[in-house]
Parts: sequence; C-alpha cells; structure tokens
Amino acid sequence: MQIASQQFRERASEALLDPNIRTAFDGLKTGFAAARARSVAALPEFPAMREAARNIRTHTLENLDLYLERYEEAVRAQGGHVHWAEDAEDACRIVRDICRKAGAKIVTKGKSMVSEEIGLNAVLEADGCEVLETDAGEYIVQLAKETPSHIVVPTVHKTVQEISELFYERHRAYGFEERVTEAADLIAQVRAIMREKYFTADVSLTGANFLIAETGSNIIVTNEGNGDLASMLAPVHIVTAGIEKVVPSLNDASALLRMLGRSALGMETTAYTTFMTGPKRAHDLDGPEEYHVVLIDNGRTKMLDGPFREMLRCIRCGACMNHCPVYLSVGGHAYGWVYPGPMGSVLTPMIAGLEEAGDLPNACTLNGRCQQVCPVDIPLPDLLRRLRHERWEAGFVKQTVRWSLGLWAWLATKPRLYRSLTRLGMAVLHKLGGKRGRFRRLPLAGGWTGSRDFPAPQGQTFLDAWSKGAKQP
Amino acid sequence: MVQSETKLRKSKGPHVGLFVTCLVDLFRPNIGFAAVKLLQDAGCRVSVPAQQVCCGQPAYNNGDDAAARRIAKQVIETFADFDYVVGPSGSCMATLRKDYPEMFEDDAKWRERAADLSARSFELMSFLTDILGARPMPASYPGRVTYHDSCSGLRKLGIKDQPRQLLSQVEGLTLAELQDSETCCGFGGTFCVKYPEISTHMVSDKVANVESAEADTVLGGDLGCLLNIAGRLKRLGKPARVFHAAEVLAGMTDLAAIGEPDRKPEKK
Amino acid sequence: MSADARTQILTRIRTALRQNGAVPMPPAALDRRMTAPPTAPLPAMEDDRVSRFIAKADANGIAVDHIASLQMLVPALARLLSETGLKADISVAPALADLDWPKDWQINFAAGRREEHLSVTFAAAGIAETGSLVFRSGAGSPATLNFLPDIHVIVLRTGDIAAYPEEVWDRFRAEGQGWPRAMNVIASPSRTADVGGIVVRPAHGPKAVHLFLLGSD
Repeated sequence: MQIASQQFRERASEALLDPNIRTAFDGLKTGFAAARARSVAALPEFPAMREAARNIRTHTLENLDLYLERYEEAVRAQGGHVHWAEDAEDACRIVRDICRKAGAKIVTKGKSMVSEEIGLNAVLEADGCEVLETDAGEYIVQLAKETPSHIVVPTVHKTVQEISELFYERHRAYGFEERVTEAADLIAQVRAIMREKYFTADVSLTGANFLIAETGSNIIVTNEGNGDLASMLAPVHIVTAGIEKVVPSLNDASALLRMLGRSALGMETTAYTTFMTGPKRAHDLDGPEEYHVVLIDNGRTKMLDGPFREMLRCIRCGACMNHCPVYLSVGGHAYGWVYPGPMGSVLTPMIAGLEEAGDLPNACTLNGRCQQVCPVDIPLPDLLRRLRHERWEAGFVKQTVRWSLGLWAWLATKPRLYRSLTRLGMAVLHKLGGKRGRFRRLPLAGGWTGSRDFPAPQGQTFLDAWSKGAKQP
Repeated sequence: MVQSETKLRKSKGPHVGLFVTCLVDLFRPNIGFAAVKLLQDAGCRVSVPAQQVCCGQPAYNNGDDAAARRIAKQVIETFADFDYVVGPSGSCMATLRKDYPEMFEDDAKWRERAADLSARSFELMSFLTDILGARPMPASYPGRVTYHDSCSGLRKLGIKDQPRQLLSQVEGLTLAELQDSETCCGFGGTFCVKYPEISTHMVSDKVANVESAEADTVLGGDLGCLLNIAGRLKRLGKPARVFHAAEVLAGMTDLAAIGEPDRKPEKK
Repeated sequence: MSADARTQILTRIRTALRQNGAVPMPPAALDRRMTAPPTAPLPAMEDDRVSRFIAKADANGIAVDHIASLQMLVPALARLLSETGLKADISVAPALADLDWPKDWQINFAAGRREEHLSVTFAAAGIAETGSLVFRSGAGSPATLNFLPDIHVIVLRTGDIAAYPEEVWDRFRAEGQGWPRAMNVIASPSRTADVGGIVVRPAHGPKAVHLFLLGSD
C-alpha cells in the first residue's frame, strides 16, 4: 500500500467537508465508544484485568526471543513450517514462493493487518493470483479499490447505497443481474460468491490476533466465520504475523481476548475464536495439507530497542481511534496508510519511516483519551511527543515553526525583556480590541481567526499589575 | 516536602509561589488575582516571583526538548524556596508535575530538583480541596453553568470532582453537566493553529454540547481551552459567557467575560 | 536466506533486551510459566455455571434445548427438521455415527459440503463466562461442519460446561491428547455489520445455532 501520510493535512481537509464521512465517524462515537463504556462499566474487575493484560504483553516482550523459539518448536512439532522475514519485501517473497510452489491461482484471505502493512496483495496479484479478501468489509473495500478507514470496521466510510451501486456494477460477473439495496441481500451475494471461492482456492492467507508459544497455534477472531472457513478449506494455509504477536500460553491469550472484544466493540467475545495448530492430521477429515507461518520483523526489533517497545503491546483493538477526537473528525483515510488514529500515528513513523509519516505525530492534541481506553495502557501521547522530538532532531520540522518557537523560547528565558515586550504588546492589543472584547481578524493568527474570534487581552499583564500593587486588573 | 499539619495551622500559613501561567499573565490577569484571593482566603501567604514566564510546554510538545529544559531550569530555580507552587491551569501544572522529572531523565542533579518541584506543584482547585481542604469564602453566581474538563488536568492530574465540589458551594449556581465534558475542545496548544480545520470541528462539537446543556455560562480550569471555546461561541454569535472557574469562586465576575467588551467593575 | 533472517532477528531481539544489564529470566522459569500458566483476574460469576451458560448462550442467539440421553437426539432432530421444513439430508460428525439414525435419512458422516443445510456436531466443552462452545477437530469431528451449514446443531454434555476458558485449557492439558489442528470457540451464529452498520445474520457461517444440552450437571 502506498503511503500518503505526508498529505494528511490535505486529506483531512477534504474529509472534513465530506458529509458521508461526517455521518459515519460521528456514529462511531455513539456506537463503539458508548458500547465500550457500557461493557467496562458492567465489569468491576476491568481495571485489574487491564493491568494483567498489560503485564502479559510486557512479560512476553521482555522474553520475546525465548517465546518465539518455543513457538517455532511447537509449530514444527505439529508439522507446520515457520519462516522468518526481515522486512516487507522478504515477507512478500516468502509468501509468493509458497504460492508459486502450490501453483496458486486463487488465494482467499482472512483479515490481516500485517499483510496490508507489507503490501502483500499487490505482490501476489502481480504474480498472477486472484487475491480475495473474504471479510465482507475488506471485500467491499477491495472491490471498490479503496483502503480500510478503520482497523475493525473497514467500511465505516461507505454508505449502503454506495455498496449497492458497487455490487450492481461488479457482481454481474457472478450472475447477479438485479440491483439489491438491502444490507441482508448485499451480504447474501458476498456469502454466495465466497462460498464458491473457499472451495476453489489453492491457498488461504490469514493473520493472527495472537500466536501461542505453548501450543504453536495462531488465533483469529471473526464474527463472520470467513477466515475460519478460508483456512480450513484451501489446501495450503499461510499465516502472516508480526513477531510481537506471540504470547506464552492459552491462558494468556484468554486474558487478552477478554480485553480485545470489549475494547474494540464493547462485546464480551466475537462469534468465532479459532485456534489453528499445524496442518491436517493423519486421521482428520478436513483442514489444509500445508501450514506455514511467516514471522515478520519489519521494524519491530527496532521498536523493541528503546522507549517504543511499549507500542509493541498493541493488540489492534481500535479503541484508541474510536475515542480520538482527531480521528473521529477526519476519518481513517486521512492518515494515509494501513494504521490510522493514535496507534497509526506511532506505528507509521516507526515502520514506514519518520519522513514518510510526515506530520502525523503532530496531528494530536495530546489529550490522553487514547491511553485511558487502551486495553494494554500504551502511553500513546508520550510516544507521539517523543516522535515530535525525533522529527525536531532530524530536521523535519518546518523552518518557520523552528524559528518562531526558537524566538519565543529564547525570550522565555529573558524575563525582563519578555516583560517589557509583552507589557507593550498587550496594551496595544487591548487598545485595538478591548472595546469589542475580541478580534475577528488578527495578522499572523489566521489559523485561529479563520473560524474563531480571538478574545482581547484585559490590558495590563498580571505581573505588571501585581508589581504595582493591584488587587484586580 | 509536604507540609506537616502543624505548620499548616500556623497563623502565617504555607508560603505559596503563584505560577501565573503565560496565558493568564497576558490575556486574563483577572484569573491571577482570583487565584491570589482564593489562596489568601484559604490562609496561604502568596508570592508572585517576577522571574516567571512560561512552563515550557510549547517547546516540549513540539519536540524541542533542549529549549524546554532551559525554560524548566529557570522555573525550578525561580520556585525553589516555596512550600508550594500553585497555578490556575491543569495543563501547565501537569508540565511541572509530570513532564519536568521526565525531561531530566539523564541528568541526576536536575532530575532531583525537578522531582522536588514536582512534589510541591499543584493546580489551583485541586490544591484548595485536596491539600488545604479549604472552603472558599461565600461567593455567588446566579446562573446555569456547565463545566468543561480540560484534558491535562483531568487525565494527568485527576482533576474532576474538585472544581465541582468547590462550585457546589457558590450561591445561586446550578451546574448542568456538559455532554462529552471529557472530550478535548480542540485547543491542544499549538495544535489549534497548526490544524485549524480539525480544531474548529472539535470546538464546534463542544459548542453544540454547551447549547444542548442550555447553560448560560461555561466554566473551566484552563485558559487555553476557554479562549478557544469563547472564541468559537463569539464567532457563532452564541450568548453563553465564559469564565475561569477561579473567577467565579473568588466572586470576581464583574469584569467582562472572556471575549466580551470591556466593562468597568461596578463600584460597591 | 530465511535461516539467516531468523538469526538476525533473534540476535537483534537479544541485543535490545539485554541492554543496561537486563538479565533474562531463566528458560526453565519461562517454560514453567508457559506450561503451567497463571490465571489472570477473572470476571466474577454469580450464577452457577450451567444457568450462566444457558443465559449467555441464549443472549447470543443460540437456541438451547435439553435432552436426557443421546438416544433422544434423533427424535429431537426429527422434530427440528419438520419444524424447519428441511429435507432429511444432513451432515453428522462421525463421532455420533453410532446412534440409531433413521434409514431413510440421507446422512453425510464426513467433512462439510459446499451446500450444507444442517449439520450435527459434538462440542468438547462449554464456557459459562461467554456462553461459548469449544470444538476440537479430529477424525470424529471435522471442523468444516461447524461453519458450513445453515443450521448448526450442537450436542454438549452439561457436565462439560466450564466456568472460564482457562478451565477448559486446564482440562485439555490434563487429558494429554495434544492440541488438535483446530479448536473452534463459537459464541453465536455468524454475523456482520459491514454494510451500513446494520447487523446481518448470517455472513459466511451458520444463520442459526441450536444446542442440545445432554444430561444433567
């Protein structure tokens, strides 16, 4: 997937004017955020469970090497293959080679964020495969040649009418001639198309919500049953997963799953939680003949080495974005890559690069709501601030900003000069605006006065008035 | 260096250095005077060091850590000798309390001094309630007010009940809770001018909630947010008035509200 | 190539983790934590596990019925078929093949087929916390039968209802049969809300789940 994060500002401006996006993302506020609040309120143990979840992730990351080795042993013991990929290119090549060996023409896919991160679909398509997203939302977005706007609800930006139009146009190829407009009828078409594909696919691809060192399993959670069906019906199943996805045991996975559903959708659990361990066994009646796992680094070991290790706790629930007022204002596409919202503003610079991520770390008010709702307590605001520092040090901050902040900071350490300049400045501003009490326009303050009046100062500065013994301005 | 109870009860009271904050100093000195009155009424000796300018948050939050540290050192020195450092802003006081020790992670000497300042630094309303357990002198404000919980105070310092507890003692005041009172108003320091469109969208939501609360006054504990909310209210021609909660608690609302035309206080 | 990547990645991880004198936990301790794992705080459960399980399953949209013995399953299915107007052309998990199935029913005792109206499978455990069912794949229980049918009929021994998933994992560990290719934990019929946020049942899996609880606790 092409990175367009440097165009955040332009894309955000467009999104703010799009009424469909407005309706969709306003809905998230009352939908998911409220549902999460209800499910958390119903559970007095939630804070203790959250702390435990955080500790599990921290413990695993602190011993990541050993747990990955144990996980690998367990997968191999069950007849599965484990591949290690340094970066996106490496990972795509490994998957492509497995597909080639399998003579793959049709590849069915369960939802996998990391496969989007490494741009896998494009690589397989270029190699002549038909790659089909099976999750209804991911499928719709793929069909429309768009990208997901939310990590849990990829189609949040699309209206029923748009989807109806899209299917009418594109599903004729499958023999659906009539225009349908009801959600149930639209989904019925997806079901019918995919049912056929599950049985004809040569390879299935899924992600992993977690990898379990104890058993060598990967877990996927779905409400549709899509990734589950895809992975059990194609003769070859490939799992793509970031190296940070491993947890020690089934118990640890259960503790994290309790947080995942509640944080993502305000639900105790998804409809399906599937634990897959190796290929079909000797006496099994179904399941893939081959089972591969591709463990992907792609910047993760770099994050492990320093303060950004905390970001690797992320379980991809989307709570941070459901509660982010900036995300809810501009929607997921503005962020320009796979991971939107607060978690995306940290992951994009860490994985895709500080420069490619553009100004994302600054597109945040540091209000702290994301950390408050994060099921594993990732200090997202602190990490975003650190990234701002890295951008500052790397020279990615605009000269005008550096210059004006520098001047202000210099002045801030010269109290007497600051006093006399501000005394004069406030007196002038008060004279100009005091009568009205506010300014509709101010030179150099267009960012503010474009949409807001600027309240006029009261006249004297506090320190000036205080030094003269005043009791009020 | 938390004061022992005996020292608090001494007639002189604790010596408080007022951290005015740059926005209050420049735009709304009335809040500074209100803070002084509230602290004095509660038995504190209040001093206002003239060397103070700003907490350095704009530099820190923009990634210029070196400049932030220079400013922080100046604040640490300026307020070295007070029992407490108190300011009428959750955001600035969170910088003193939470960010300063973090800024000097790699500097043992200054880290210790930062930690010492951090332990003595408090936001005004939480200081009055949590540390002094003070009941403010009776004030009155006839009106239906709503309260915006500014983010840094709320999430970094746990300020939520304290202002409500104090405001409940103001005569004639009815508190109508703001829907999404804990949602950011879109100010965010330099965010509001870097991303004016997003900021406007956020503050418009805030204004809509003020309207649906049917409040005639908006209160808060951070002037930055209040300038933002008042600015948007005024631009849209909405009648709601905006004050810092300290102004109401100190009975100092005779002057024009934030963003309103000059008005001389009535002589009493 | 990939062996090289493995070494590189593990080396980088170790370098990152062993900084500032950080000492790794001894492997034996980690192995113990992995195979005899601690249990994190659990949500309190006020009801007894069976009532809780039934209440949760019901809330999730699973129809729950009781049968005294496995012999009652076939008559119960016959009723279900006549109620739903379905032909007696079904798939049944081989684990249930020994029951006294009517001769005139078409029964597929194998993996699931592309068109599957109704299947009958046997759950290894129930989880009261979420009202979920746990299936272990194997020669007697193909996993596809849990996902392909329109109507999924499940048999579960009431005695196999655990309070929490952790109890189920403990039981499986103690039984020592190893881990099956697939463990499917199923909490409800298949659904999606990807079109306009409207909940639609089914998406890709069963539109109805019918549970027969076998025997008493």
